[in-house]
Amino acid sequence: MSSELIEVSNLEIRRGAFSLEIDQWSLGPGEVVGLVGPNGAGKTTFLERLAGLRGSRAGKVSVLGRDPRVDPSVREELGFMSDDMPLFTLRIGVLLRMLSGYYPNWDAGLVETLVEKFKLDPGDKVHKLSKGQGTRLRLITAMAFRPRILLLDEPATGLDVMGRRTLLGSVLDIVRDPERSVIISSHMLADVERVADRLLVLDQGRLIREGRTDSLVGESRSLEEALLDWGAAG
Amino acid sequence: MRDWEIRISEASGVPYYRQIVDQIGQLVRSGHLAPGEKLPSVRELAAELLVSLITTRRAYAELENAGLIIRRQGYGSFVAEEIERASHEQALKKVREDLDELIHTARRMGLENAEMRKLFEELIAGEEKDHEQ
Repeated sequence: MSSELIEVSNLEIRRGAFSLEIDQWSLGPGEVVGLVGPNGAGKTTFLERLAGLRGSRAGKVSVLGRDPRVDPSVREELGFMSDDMPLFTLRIGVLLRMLSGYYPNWDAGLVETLVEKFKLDPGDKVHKLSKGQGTRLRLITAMAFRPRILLLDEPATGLDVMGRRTLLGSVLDIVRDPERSVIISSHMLADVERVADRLLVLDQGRLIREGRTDSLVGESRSLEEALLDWGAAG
Repeated sequence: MRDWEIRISEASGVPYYRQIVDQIGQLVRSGHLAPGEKLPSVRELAAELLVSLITTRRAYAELENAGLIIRRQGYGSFVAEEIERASHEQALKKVREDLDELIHTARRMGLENAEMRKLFEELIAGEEKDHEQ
């Protein structure tokens, strides 16, 4: 079996007039990959396909050897967080206790640490949270069961500086285990550049750049400037 | 508990790996990091500084090339013993390689040995004069 955690080949997804096509791409163990590109590039579509939340017209997606669209059991090892993911109308503490029952690997210690670091009150009602508080709660629920693969779609929405630092620390904490990996899609380009070992750059549904962050971006410019140079800023 | 820390500045414009190299280099040269002392692993340091694994890996590779740290497979990274000697030897090796290449170029371009020696002496003398001023 391949050591890659995710393998994508000849992928084609259609959504109305939009199409996303990726010939070949893979995610290795122990790495952080930054997924960047302008609005409408297909970043969310790609992550949703990897998580098995949408299908594809053609091609192959293999996550830990299985396609999550065909075999949802792989989702037990796959964390997915997006900034518009719905949350139940419960108190934070009740929601977290309820979710813990679904996951054998639920790490109550990690949840407690993150609730404290993110300054959340377990007694607060979920539907009354601010945007940033909601983001933090979604992050906790995506990380709490210590998935092998964590997919983060705009995880920094509404986070302040300290919240973003906690987020980056949590991401890098995950890859302290060389068997686990993270894909982070974010408009916070300086943050992505800071923590991502590799980049995957999408523009209008096409993979336009892929490779090590340092060799793609270089020393004399920032990721933001690099995206402008590639015509993929938005 | 460690009594040293590295501070990463986003605003300085200096690449993160370079900031790590410079600061660890400084800690080693000043003796804050003692010869033989174990350094955090690449993954630990990355999580602590909030920088990527490749950034940290690259910094450690540069420190190793400079003779400041030694990596032992399966054991981790340590501050090099006898830093002075290691770095001096590295410097000698590097200059020797560069000179060797220059000599080859000079020969190809038809320069005589005597001319090269004279040029070398002149340049060293000039450098010495510059330093005295």
